[in-house]
Amino acid sequence: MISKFLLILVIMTVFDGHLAQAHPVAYADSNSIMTWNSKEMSDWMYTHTFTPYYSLSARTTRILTSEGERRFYIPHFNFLAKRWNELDSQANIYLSFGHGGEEVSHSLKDVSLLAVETDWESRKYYVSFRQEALLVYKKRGSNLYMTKLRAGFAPYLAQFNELNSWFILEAEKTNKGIESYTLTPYVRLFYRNVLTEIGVSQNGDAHFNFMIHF
Amino acid sequence: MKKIIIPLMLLTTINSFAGEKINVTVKGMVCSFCSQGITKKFKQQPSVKEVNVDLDTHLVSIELKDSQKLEDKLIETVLKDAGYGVEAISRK
Repeated sequence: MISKFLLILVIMTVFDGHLAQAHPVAYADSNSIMTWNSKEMSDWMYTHTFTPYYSLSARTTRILTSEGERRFYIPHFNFLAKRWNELDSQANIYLSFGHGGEEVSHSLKDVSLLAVETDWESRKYYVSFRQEALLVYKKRGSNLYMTKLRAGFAPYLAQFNELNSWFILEAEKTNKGIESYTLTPYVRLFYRNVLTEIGVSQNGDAHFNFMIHF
Repeated sequence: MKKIIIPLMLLTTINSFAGEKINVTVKGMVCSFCSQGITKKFKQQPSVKEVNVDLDTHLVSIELKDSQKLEDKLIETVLKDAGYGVEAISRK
């Protein structure tokens, strides 16, 4: 049932043509620090955006999988492939790719990252999709695939310098996770250039995400 | 008569030195977290005194310093660098 629901949402997202996810490319000459944390995952990323079309990220990721804990260190490029700016909405498609290492027995094994993100948002609603693959060199069975879908709404319309609140539902599927499917409702709060998200997944795990642009 | 003319002349002189006000209707400006780059980028311009963003009306209001100018092309470039599109520019 859940897989059918996810499949329909993925298909809708891909073919709608104007849906997407978080913003790996911000405004020109800016920096951002992002972190996503839960019991199963800890992800830290520093990004410098050179132009409104591309950025470079340094990223370290810890993932608790069914095969044990895995750590990745992957620098990657992010490209804004397409943006639709409308008066009441914005939609984006981003592509990311990079090459780094997975820490295995105190050495680094080659890993490549490929990701596609799309999002659509208005001041009231938000939808995003991310498909990410961590491809382990010469060890196909260890590849990690993650699909993330998000939908949210703002209970009130906040102005530019006011506290913004959002309710977001995130569905995540991984091929190597302790849980194959995770459903996490979040409360997102942001003020000026600081954003936090706090959520609890269906198995009771707390999630904390934080982002800052400067 | 002098009492009326002199204050009027003073007022006119003060107004001629006041900074120009520009209203820009911006496309894609829906998220205040993502739009912070707009104020940051405009404040980096030496001619800009103040910038205000109104998400309800999609307007970025720019007040220039006295006797300063900001070309439409530069406004469009700044907003493009911030990730947005320009719908219209009006000046007061």
